[in-house]
Amino acid sequence: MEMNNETVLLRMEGITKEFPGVKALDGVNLTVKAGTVHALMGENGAGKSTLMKCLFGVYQKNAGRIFLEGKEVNFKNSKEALENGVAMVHQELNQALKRNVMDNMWLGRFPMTGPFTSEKKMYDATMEVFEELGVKVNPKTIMSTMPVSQRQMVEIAKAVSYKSKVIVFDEPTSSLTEEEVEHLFKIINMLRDRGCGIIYISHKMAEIKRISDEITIMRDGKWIATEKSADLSMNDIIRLMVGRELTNQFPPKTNVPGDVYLKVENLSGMYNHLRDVSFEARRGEVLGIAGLDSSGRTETLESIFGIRTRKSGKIFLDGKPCRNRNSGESIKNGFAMLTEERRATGIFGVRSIRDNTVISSLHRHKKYGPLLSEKSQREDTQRYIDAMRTKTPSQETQIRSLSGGNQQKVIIGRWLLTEPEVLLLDEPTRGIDVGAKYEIYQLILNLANEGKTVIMVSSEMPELLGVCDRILVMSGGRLAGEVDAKNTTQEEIMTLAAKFA
Amino acid sequence: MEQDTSRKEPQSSFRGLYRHVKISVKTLDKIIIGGILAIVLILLYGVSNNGYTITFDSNGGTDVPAQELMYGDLVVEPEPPTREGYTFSGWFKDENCLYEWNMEEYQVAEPMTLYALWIPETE
Amino acid sequence: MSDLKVKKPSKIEEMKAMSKKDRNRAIGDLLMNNAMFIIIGIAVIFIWIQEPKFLSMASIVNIVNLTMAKLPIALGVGGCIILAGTDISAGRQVGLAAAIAAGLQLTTNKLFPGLQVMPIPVAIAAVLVVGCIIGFVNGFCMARFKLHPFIVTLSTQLIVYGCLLMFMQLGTNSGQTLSGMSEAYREFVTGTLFKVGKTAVPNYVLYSAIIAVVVWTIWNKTTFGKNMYAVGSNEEAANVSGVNVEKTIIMVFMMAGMLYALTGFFDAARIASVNATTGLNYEADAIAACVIGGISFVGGIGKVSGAIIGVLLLQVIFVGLNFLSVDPNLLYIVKGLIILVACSIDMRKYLVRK
Repeated sequence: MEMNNETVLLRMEGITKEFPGVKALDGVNLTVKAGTVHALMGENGAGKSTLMKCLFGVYQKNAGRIFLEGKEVNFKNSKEALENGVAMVHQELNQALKRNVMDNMWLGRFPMTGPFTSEKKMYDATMEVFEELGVKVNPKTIMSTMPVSQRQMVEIAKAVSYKSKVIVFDEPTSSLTEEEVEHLFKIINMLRDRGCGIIYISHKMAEIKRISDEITIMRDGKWIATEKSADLSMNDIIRLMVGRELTNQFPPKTNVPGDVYLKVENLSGMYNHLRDVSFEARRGEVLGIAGLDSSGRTETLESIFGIRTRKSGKIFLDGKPCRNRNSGESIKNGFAMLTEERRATGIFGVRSIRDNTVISSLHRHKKYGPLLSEKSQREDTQRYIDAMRTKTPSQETQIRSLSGGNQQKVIIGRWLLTEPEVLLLDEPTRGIDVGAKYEIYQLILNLANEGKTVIMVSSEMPELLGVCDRILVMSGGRLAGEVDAKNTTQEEIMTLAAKFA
Repeated sequence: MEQDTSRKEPQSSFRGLYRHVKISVKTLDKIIIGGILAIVLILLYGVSNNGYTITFDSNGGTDVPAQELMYGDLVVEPEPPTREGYTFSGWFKDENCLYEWNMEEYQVAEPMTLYALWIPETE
Repeated sequence: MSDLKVKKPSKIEEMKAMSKKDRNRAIGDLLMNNAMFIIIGIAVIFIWIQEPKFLSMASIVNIVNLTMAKLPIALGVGGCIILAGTDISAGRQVGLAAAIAAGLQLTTNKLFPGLQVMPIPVAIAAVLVVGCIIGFVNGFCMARFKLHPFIVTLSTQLIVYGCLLMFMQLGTNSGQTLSGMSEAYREFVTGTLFKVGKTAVPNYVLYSAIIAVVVWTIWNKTTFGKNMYAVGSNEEAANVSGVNVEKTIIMVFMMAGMLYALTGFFDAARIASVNATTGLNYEADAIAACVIGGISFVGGIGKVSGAIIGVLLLQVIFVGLNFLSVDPNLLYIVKGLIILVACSIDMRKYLVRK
């Protein structure tokens, strides 16, 4: 077994990946040495997952080369990667849950005796790997009956059984208890001592400092730095990850927050980890919500809007309780909700701009009994195409043929037509080019000036600092703190965001 | 990342019934062209082996041979069948013998069976 | 703000601006996406040469009549397809409705011995109520339990067929073909509306046309119609946008049930006899017609005019093959292939090129 710390196992050079209109990766380098744990860090959307997908052949890279132990490789799929000694332990484990442990371990390469699969050989081989790793699991257990931590162990054992040299861990601790994390780290350390190269992707600063030997930091699809872990302080890492400086990419703030309008008390989710979220929002205020992925930001908005089941919690509008059991009721109460995943939960792709604009305010167009007036629909649509400066050939154009920014404008138009008092905006500028972003910031501030309440979730810290009055920071489904947007720093927010993570 | 399962709706994008379909345009083109060729071949076969079979159900009488006819032809009046104790009373379109088939006027439009109606002989 | 409008170049200008490779691909796309129309066009010409009577006035009127008879069921299935679902219980529902309509209109009633011929509005109301109930069951299972449309309608298809067989066993009928409907009923449905040359256009053509107008209005001019398209094109977005998704799905299937019921009501009088095979495989024709007419399984796409064109084209083909005396058994195979090809073409239109 190779123990030389300076042997380079995996080298990725100048990896570039373009999606229509976006450069997701721009000449990224990554070098993983044998017997080290290499942390890969960056904000959401920095390109970590895309880089890994290029390695495993999920995406075809546009440029760049990948070398495994000096030989150039170009895997077509994760199976081929696995057979060549590159394995991944996924964020979301994709296993055959109805089958038992050993079936999952040997799927696609069952040990044979003549033409038949051999249960006994399979059992012995599984036990051998488990003993090596100190895993105490019966190989005949059905996967779905085991906790996530043990399923993860099976995944690791599978990687080991393939004699993998490079193992990628993608957010491995997100659903583990502290004890389980300890066990995982023990195994990772063991793999490192055996000469494996580990790529460790995580948001959790403390973990990274503890486990990693080297850190590569990415930002906006670019390689930023690769340093010895010992040479970087937590603050250095945050600074490198956030990187950007605030310029005047935001319109001037002129809104003046008024009286408390919306009050949320003890909001908890039924099927998610949202716990005891309480806050107030004023008229004419832009309230930001910051936090890492899966910190409960989206869940908060969607629970208020009634499209996620609440376990408990009260919502007051102007002191009066309102129930918001479904989106229809929320719209009547004056709420509007811009969802995070525009394609999945926002647009009606094959329908026209007009249909997409008027869908939430159809009752306003009733003219002759139940019949809708085509003319007033057309007028409303045109008014918002003009007001939002949406670029489209006609109202009849299918919305899927527009650019992301223009799609977003159509959907914002849809919500403004419902004449809302409270706007819940989830990542309102995601996937939108810079020019359109500015227009959306301007719009948010105009709405606040008109006395509307705007609550905005964003992963982009500068955006929150530039547009909001106050920022709530969420962490692990709970409210971690509240900061004044004028007197805070990105570092303070990042520290709060890691509080319960 | 934990998956939130509280959404009531299943995951769906705008591709409806095809949302799990992973197929290239080239493969689809082959399927379409293949399918059209199959349709054309079957139709050519059908056109070259055309003709409708008209069978006669004599309802207990003597057998009457079937006829091969084309669309729009008239049925050739067959030799009337015989049956002991009954008088033959014409060919009918339905089993219940409600709609009589007029051999002089009605044109054949599909394969069919004609049924004989028998009236018991009375002394 | 006209300066913001992007002028859309015409198709020909677009073609000219392309490179040779792109142009070839665009022409290829055009041919493939319209392959079904092209092949039907060639078939029509071929049949016409073989049998010139095929395009005589009498034959054309006959094709139109048949088209109108099958239109309501196609519109019902069309609504289900717009929801990105389908309905394979349609044919059996037509059969049940036809049996009920006939059962209430028999002059000598073996199903309900002694029952007088019921007034026509009672018969219409009866079939509509039954259609509504079956549609509700279909829609409810889909909306509330999130079952796949194929599974739900496969089950209801069997249930409805069972009910139909039981219904035919009522009284002293013991499953025999129902025939001998009242003159008033037959006259109401198949009476002559007007004549083109010597060929009669029956009343049901008018009723069917009225139904098409009503369905068009519902699809395009009501909140329900807009919601139907929204749910079909993106259920989750509809749920966020204040659309009551469950109610919409249930209502679409109830409307479909009523349309099948009307088809059955017309068919009982049109064919003048009803048995257990009435309505068999009608859904296959309807689905094929919808897909040919551009009502896409992608969901959220489709027009009433598309359904009409689809039904018309199918009828043209099948009447034409009838003229050539082609074995009807063979036509089932052809129908199956047509659905496969039409779906492939439909899929091709909405595939994203990598």
